[in-house]
Amino acid sequence: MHGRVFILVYVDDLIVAGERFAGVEAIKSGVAAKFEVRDMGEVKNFIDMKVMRDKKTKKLTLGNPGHIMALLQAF
Amino acid sequence: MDTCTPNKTAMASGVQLDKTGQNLLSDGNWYAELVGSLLYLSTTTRPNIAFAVGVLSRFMSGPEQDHMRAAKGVLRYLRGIDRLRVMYGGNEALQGYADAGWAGDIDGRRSKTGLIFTLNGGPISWASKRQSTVATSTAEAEHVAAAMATEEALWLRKLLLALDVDGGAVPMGEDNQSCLALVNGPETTGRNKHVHLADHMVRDYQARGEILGQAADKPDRLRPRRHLVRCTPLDGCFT
Repeated sequence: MHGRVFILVYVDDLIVAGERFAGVEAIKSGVAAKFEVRDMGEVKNFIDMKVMRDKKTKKLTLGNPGHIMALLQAF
Repeated sequence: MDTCTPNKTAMASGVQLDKTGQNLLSDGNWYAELVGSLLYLSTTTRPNIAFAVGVLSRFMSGPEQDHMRAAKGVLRYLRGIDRLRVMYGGNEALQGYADAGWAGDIDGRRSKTGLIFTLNGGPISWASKRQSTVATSTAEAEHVAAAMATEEALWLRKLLLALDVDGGAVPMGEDNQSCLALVNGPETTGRNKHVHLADHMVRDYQARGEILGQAADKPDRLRPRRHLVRCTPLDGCFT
């Protein structure tokens, strides 16, 4: 009933994705019961990468525009 | 540098950087910091600078002015493609590409492997690595590259199988005809042991139906692997 759920862990950042929303919610509440967590909602940023989803066209894009601009300004 | 003129490529082809021990930078940390930042970008959303970053990272100890100039050249390139993003969409199966740049390194004459895997229209795994042994021909360098890509293909295939995605043998694009001939035909010649190993490995996994060597001709629309072994203008998998 929860379907499959995928958890991506990078140090202390987690992405939870699943076939059904109920599965994602179950993992989130399970982790929150044991650890102090902050629910950031839908993924927008992950390890400095900007994540954009277009649900209509089913496309996902990744970028680092802020990172490149910061580098250009620093050097 | 946020108002600089963009470069068309990450690193000019034909430019040979080496350690001369002259014109050392007074503050080498500055260089290390820049290359470190570029390295992060090359592993996240800019596979097309992987080759250039690989070259730059060889000069972390004792960076010189020429090296800094080259590193800033990569920044200029990034400025021109700042708005580009890696895009995934559709249902394209896993596809691998392998390529080699023969004896490009003037210090040790070792060749470079470039490999990239795409899934659902976007790059998911890539590398630009100096080969551990000297290849005496382009076919040999391509062979070693194909073996390195085969290892990655097997791991990705296992990962996908664990997620219940079975796309069959992973198609592997390879543009070196003699390399393909060796993978597809079991004749052996008097080659070195390490090439022999690479031969057998690629051939065996193809026989087991885990990978499938394919010709990737020059007009191939998606030629992302080229960026990982040398410097060419951008085309391919970016939006």
